[in-house]
Amino acid sequence: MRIRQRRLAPRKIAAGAATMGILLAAAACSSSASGGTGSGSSSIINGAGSTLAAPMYQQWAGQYHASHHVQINYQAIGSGGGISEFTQGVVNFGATDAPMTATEQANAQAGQGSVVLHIPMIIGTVTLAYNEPSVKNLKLDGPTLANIYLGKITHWNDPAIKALNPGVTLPSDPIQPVERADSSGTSYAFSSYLTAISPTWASQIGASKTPAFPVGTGATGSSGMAAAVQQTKGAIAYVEYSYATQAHLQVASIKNASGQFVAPTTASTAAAAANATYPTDVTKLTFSLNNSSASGAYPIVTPTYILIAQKSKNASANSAVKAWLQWCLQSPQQAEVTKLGYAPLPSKLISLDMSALKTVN
Amino acid sequence: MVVAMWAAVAAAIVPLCFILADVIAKGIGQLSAAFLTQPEPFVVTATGGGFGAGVRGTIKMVALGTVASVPIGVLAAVYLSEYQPRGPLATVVRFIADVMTGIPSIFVGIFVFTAVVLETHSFSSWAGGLALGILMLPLIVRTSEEALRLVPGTLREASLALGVRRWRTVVSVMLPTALPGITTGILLAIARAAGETAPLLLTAFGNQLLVPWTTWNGPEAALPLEIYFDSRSPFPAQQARAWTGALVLIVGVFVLALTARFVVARRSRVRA
Amino acid sequence: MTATQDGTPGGPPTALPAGRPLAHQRGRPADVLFRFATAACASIVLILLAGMLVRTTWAAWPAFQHSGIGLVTSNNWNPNTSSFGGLSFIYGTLLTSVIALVLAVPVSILIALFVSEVAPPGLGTPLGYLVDLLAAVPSVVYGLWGVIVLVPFLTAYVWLPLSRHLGFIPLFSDFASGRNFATAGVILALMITPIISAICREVFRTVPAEERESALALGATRWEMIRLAVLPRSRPGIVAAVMLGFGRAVGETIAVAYLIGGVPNKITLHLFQQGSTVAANIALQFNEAASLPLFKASLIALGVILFIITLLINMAARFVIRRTGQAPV
Repeated sequence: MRIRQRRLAPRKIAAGAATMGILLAAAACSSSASGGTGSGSSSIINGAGSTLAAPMYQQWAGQYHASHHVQINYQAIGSGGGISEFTQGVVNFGATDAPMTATEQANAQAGQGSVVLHIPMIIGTVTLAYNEPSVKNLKLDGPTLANIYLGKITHWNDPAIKALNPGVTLPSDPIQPVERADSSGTSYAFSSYLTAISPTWASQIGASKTPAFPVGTGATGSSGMAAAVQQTKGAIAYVEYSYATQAHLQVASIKNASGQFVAPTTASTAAAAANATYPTDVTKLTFSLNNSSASGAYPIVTPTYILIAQKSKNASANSAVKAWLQWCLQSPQQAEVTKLGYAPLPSKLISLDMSALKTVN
Repeated sequence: MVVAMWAAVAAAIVPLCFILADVIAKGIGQLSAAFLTQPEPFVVTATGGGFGAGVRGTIKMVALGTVASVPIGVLAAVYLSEYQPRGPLATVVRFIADVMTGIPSIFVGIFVFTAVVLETHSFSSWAGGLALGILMLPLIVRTSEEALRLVPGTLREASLALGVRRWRTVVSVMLPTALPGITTGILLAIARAAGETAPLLLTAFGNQLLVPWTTWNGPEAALPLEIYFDSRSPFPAQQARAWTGALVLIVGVFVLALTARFVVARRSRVRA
Repeated sequence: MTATQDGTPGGPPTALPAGRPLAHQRGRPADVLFRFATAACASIVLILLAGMLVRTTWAAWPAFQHSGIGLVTSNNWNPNTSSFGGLSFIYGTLLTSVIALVLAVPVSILIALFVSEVAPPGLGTPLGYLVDLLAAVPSVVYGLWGVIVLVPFLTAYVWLPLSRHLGFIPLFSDFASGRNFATAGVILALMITPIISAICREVFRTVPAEERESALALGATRWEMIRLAVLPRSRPGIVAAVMLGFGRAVGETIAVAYLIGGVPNKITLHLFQQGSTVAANIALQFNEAASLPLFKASLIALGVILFIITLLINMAARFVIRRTGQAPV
């Protein structure tokens, strides 16, 4: 009896491999024909960090690529990630809403082998979104906000809130503050505002990308915060301007240092930026725009910075970043920012940025 | 008892239907050939464009991960079930594979980030593929071993008794018989690898632009990454793209699974 | 000819003399090469995975030195004061995985039985594929859909009613948020059901027809046949499937990060409170920690602890299987 042994069908395997090879070759040819990445361009410039600024950086990168044929790839992994990946040298520039702490600065300069500059590029707004349909135009001030997030104010009809909103019937719902569970530049912006106006907050919690909030529920990402507010009656959350406007969330007007209750808009943000005093040392170009006393200025405003080395090991990539940033600071590009919900940089800040960029190799 | 079974089926199918309904309802609008081949528009509020970069990146990196992990994993499983199943090497490998099925996916990302990305000072597609392969490996080893152990001993002995050599027995009798089980394991591993975000954040990084099929040295987009980033955006145009991307990924993996099962089933039927 | 050619004794049906090739095969290059190749692959797996384990432990070592056993026994996670007590994360991981297993294991086994035993092939196979579709959903979509759809639904129709009517049970009292341990457990159950179910399906499929037919021939009902012929043989396979599902539940990062709240230092029996898991915590805090060595080492150290826990549970499962005498290893 002959046993018909199953062959491994070498012919079938060879045929399969040949087909795969032809398909891959065809794909390779078609991809280069479609010119997806542009011809003869040098390696990509990579940047990472702030989610707040991502829409603007990605638009500027795309427009710059179209006109200057330099590929810039920006990924919005968060301010903390931007700082750490820039420190470890795997991206050419970082982006962060929160200025680096002394430790972070030292690590970054050691990692890059050079002085690291903060270049403020965009001014963003932190709004307080809330979910109480019966309360149309909520007014809050800094100390009340701090007490909400410290857990001292627990219901919407608390006397402190009533005092700020005369004539408004406030419901008796409990207030549910929502906060970011992940590391976030927006958390830094909000907690630095609370640190500026509340000594209790300053001593207990302080300003950080991951503040140790004593009360409230956690959400992941600004979109998680927006979803949490939309789903929970009585919730209040701090989110960037675009999240509140695009999702049509109710936002509170906050009292600024002159006693005005100001709603968050690009104009009120620009007012805060226009009337601030800026540092003169361009190698330390970090500042706070919180609690402005200018007329019509919104008090919770955050600059966002790009981190760049003065003298990078990768000189060609660094000059490309410098050229791109100089291009972004020109007026046609600055004119685009309000469409995405940011305030334009005041001209004195733009010239400070340009001076800082001149010191880059 | 049959009622309980129907209830169990419903408990799984009903949420699935809701997820699919949501993904389809929110994602079908943008679905088109252009979505699969074009990169995202750089003006974030613009509609049009698509996840072409992510589709290409996912195909490249999952393919690399599969090619890297399947042969090694299946052959290792052969060793575990056939040669010295109680031996020291087999016992240790089995335990380690068991433990590694529980690895948080971000861990693989951190490992490949430290071992590869920091050393080369660059994110890369091949680092992403490597991370996916490492993620897939323990699952493939374990399920293949189980599948091989479930092959009746009588089949193996009959083959050996007929004078067929050991290696031929494995390749021509054991593996084909265990093929449905091994395929299940491979498909589960591919489904997991195709849908993972965390390891790719630290290895492939993501890319707005289409990377050529032959370029593996720089950052690359992937479908789960693009879904992740776009879902976190406040702009409706980007959120819509995220849902369409999710639809593409689910359908893609499902079609792959159906095709593989069909091929395997046909093979078994032809043999019988 | 059907007898072995060199007259070696037959031995028990499922155990060949392990590792000893038959006489006429000894030294054949193809066999030696093949055996070497498979051993090499097993070694590659060992080197790769063990290498990862070793390197990770080495990276975590400063955390073990700093916190000692407090890393797992202390419930005080505060990176700002260099205090790294991660008990709450381990607790959260185990709690959500247990919830997921409690929900998913019975459902998966019933589905697998249904597909392989009860349903006609025209219905069973498509249903099986449909359940497998749950595996094709990426974890980020589970997180997204979970936050947008599942959380409000469960909060309104399940968690709040449970908390109101059965609030005397500590598990259900003290509702904090829809993003809680219970919701995370539910989404994990959805994610591991296809894994457990698909593997159990394969396991049930390989039960020989003769055993089923003998049971039926002796007058067993279908359910009795399942209980007597299918399930006992399948126990090692079922345990393997459950262990793989457990591993997946323990390692899931993104979906849990979206749905559990990410709040450290929370150890509570109240399922509707927020908490965190080891994997979610790494994802949420890694960016912050990457350039702070002790913080990063502590995050990684918690992952190493997770490996040890997974190892212990797997060892326990194998021990149980061996005690019931169902498997050779």
